[in-house]
Amino acid sequence: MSDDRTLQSRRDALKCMAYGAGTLFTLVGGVLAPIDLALAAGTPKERLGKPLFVQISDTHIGFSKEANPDVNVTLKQTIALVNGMVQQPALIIHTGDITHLSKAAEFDLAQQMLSQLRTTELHTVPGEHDTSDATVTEYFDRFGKASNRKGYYSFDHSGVHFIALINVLEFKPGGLGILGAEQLAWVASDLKGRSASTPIVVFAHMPLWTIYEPWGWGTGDADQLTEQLRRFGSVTVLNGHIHQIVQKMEGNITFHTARSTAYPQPIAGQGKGPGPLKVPADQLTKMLGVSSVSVVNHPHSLTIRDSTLG
Amino acid sequence: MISQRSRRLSWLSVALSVWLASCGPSPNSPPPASPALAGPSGTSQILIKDFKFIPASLSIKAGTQVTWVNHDDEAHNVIISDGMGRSGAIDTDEKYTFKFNKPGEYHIRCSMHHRMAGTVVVQ
Repeated sequence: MSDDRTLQSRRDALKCMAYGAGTLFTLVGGVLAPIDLALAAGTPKERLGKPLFVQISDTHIGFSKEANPDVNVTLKQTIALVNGMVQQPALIIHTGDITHLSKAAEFDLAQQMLSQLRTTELHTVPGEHDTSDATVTEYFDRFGKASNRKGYYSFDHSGVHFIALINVLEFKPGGLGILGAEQLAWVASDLKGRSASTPIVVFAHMPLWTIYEPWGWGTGDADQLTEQLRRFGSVTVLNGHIHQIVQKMEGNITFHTARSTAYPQPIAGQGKGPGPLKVPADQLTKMLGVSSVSVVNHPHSLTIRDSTLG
Repeated sequence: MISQRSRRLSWLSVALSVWLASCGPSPNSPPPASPALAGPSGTSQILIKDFKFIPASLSIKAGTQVTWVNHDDEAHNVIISDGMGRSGAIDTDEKYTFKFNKPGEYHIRCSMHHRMAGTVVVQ
């Protein structure tokens, strides 16, 4: 096969993948521009940007029900997908529900599997499944160092400021999980004096805007966080929890939830609750995947691209 | 794991409790505490089904052991009056048992699904 034909078949493959893999979002100067991946496939590499990080979410190691009897296999596929990226991301973010039942053996296996990623810098936040043990210690014993066991912390990479938040421990009675006054005050101090031109990435497990309150798909006091983020020119807010992609823009803030690598969940309000959704076996990997975020025209813009496993 | 037969019996008990409760106050009233479900002396059971505790309100005598059984595909847990007791994650068909020794009204919730709430009244 000639090089031209190889290139053409790669383009065709990318074009085909595009319809299952979603849309590339380019955020330039605070304006989000969706680009069909079929078009993005023909975009020069330099315009697609340098991969900054990949978001992995809701791996649910320990889950073994009908919706996906072997979540280890789909996590291995996820790791192979990320390791196969031509340009490796600088870091990996896991937005929670690393495990299904907060068991020590589940955390140990998840850590062992995630250590197979070529990119070794891993940042995490816990999901409610990671804090469901009786003592609420298993997650923090392993991943609590960055936050001094509080669950929230910040760091900088490539000119981007990252803020990791926890919204699965405190809650409004009968309502949504919350960040809480102490954490919100910490965010205010963390952002104080920071230039409005600094790209900000915020990540937590549960959505930081209300998608569907009856199922707990939101954060009760997220509005107070959003107010603090409005002055920045580029803000990307990433979550997991709902096992499907939902996104919105509000001013310069892009909100985006990621797919799970374990199993899909129903669309909001369809069914009795936010449990595992069983789909035909040949559909499963089309509903699982990761999000990658790249820097374009550094440091002014970030792009989000979603990829599925199948 | 629990047998199909005992699960059917549990559901009969729950259905009876729900039917008895439906004969009572108007729909706007808070749910009355249901009598303890059938079981060996000094024990009682609460089902977890469709993201609900069934019954949502249970009345028992001091010294009763209450067992929660999860019949959902999703995992849950049981938090008793913020500090009195806390289970680990309860997977499908798994159980958690807690003995209520002191009279009082105890609030029950699942930390994984905040709308799941119930009450145990200990006499």
